[in-house]
Amino acid sequence: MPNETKRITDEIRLRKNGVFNIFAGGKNLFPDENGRICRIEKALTVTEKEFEECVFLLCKGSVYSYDDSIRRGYIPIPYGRAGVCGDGVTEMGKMKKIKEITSVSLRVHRNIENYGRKIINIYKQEGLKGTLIYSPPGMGKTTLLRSVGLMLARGEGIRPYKVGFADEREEIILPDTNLGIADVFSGCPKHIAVEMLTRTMSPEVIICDEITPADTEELVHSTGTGVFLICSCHAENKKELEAKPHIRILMEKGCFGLLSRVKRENGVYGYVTEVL
Amino acid sequence: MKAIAGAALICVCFFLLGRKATERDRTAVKQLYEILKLTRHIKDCISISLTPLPDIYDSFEFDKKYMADFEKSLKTKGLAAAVEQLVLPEEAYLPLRELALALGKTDSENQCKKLESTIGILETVYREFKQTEQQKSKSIQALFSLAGAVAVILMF
Repeated sequence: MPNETKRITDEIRLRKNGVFNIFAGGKNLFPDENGRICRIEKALTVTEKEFEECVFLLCKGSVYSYDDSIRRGYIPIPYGRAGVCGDGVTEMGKMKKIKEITSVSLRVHRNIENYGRKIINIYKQEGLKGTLIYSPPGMGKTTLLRSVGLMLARGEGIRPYKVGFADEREEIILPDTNLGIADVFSGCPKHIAVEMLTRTMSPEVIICDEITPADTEELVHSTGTGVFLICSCHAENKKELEAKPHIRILMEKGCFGLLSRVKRENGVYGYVTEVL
Repeated sequence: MKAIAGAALICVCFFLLGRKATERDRTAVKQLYEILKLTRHIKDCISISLTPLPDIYDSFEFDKKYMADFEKSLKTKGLAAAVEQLVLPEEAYLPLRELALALGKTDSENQCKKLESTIGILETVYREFKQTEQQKSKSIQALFSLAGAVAVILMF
């Protein structure tokens, strides 16, 4: 595969008995057997055996020990997570298990030094603010969250803060980025992680990715205890953001004083900020 | 005196030959017992705590006399490769190999079902094989001892 394509690859997708494709530079690309980008008809396909071997390796040879995370749609791996989907089995309206995994999406996570500088500068001028980072999926929200969180923890251009990460899917903190300067609660639902961090680690800032309605109560409670939240959420624009009931509640309760919309053009990361 | 010592030596030699002739089956029984213990241990670890396979293998105490090569192979190459180190009867080898190929590849519910069925087969094979081996071993030992006695009578 061309090096330039590798550099800008965001996602790698494998489907059982289906095509192998990558998402790079905002496009779905289909490599052939020689790694050259080609038309979908000539694309490399993943056999059942290859696919199962891939899942087996992602689970370090013990698929059953990832039952819980697979049920929640992912397999945690050292540099992020592998999203999975397939034939789900529900019981009493809740997901019981994924009987057969048929697709795997490997997200390529990046650590961009100083990416959060603009936000840190705002904190420096106006004081720390609860921040909501939003964009459609795959634009780099987690990259920005990671950068801002680590810059605050390291005290880069600002005094060092006590930062706690509620990292449910073990994808915010990469193995080589934490360096023992932040507290990470990983592998459990965000609202539980936020509650535990608030109660036991007395953080000044909590970083939380892709907040959902289930997290609202705990996030409001944390703000009430003097913790600043830096969260992310899927939305194309501010209108879409405000249309989400749980976000509206959080904004009305004063959890956020800064909004940041992440965008990517031609693979280049960027974001705009708005002080509320 | 020398004749008695010579006769005793011949009898002991034949007895030891008899032991040697039944050694393979005796080893198979011991290994089968160890494998049965291992599969029960794997099932407990998976059903109770979803422990990953390498940790399960590390936490199991093997009988070093019979399982040293197996243990080494299990910890470096996994169960499918380690099974090849054993001298099991075919009725135990085939389901064990099937289990080894499936181990770690499905969710805990399916793993436990597979382990339960394999344990059931191994228990039956172990019971029957141990009984057969004991009877066979007694017969062979008796035969060799008798052969020793005949050899002594013929020589003297």
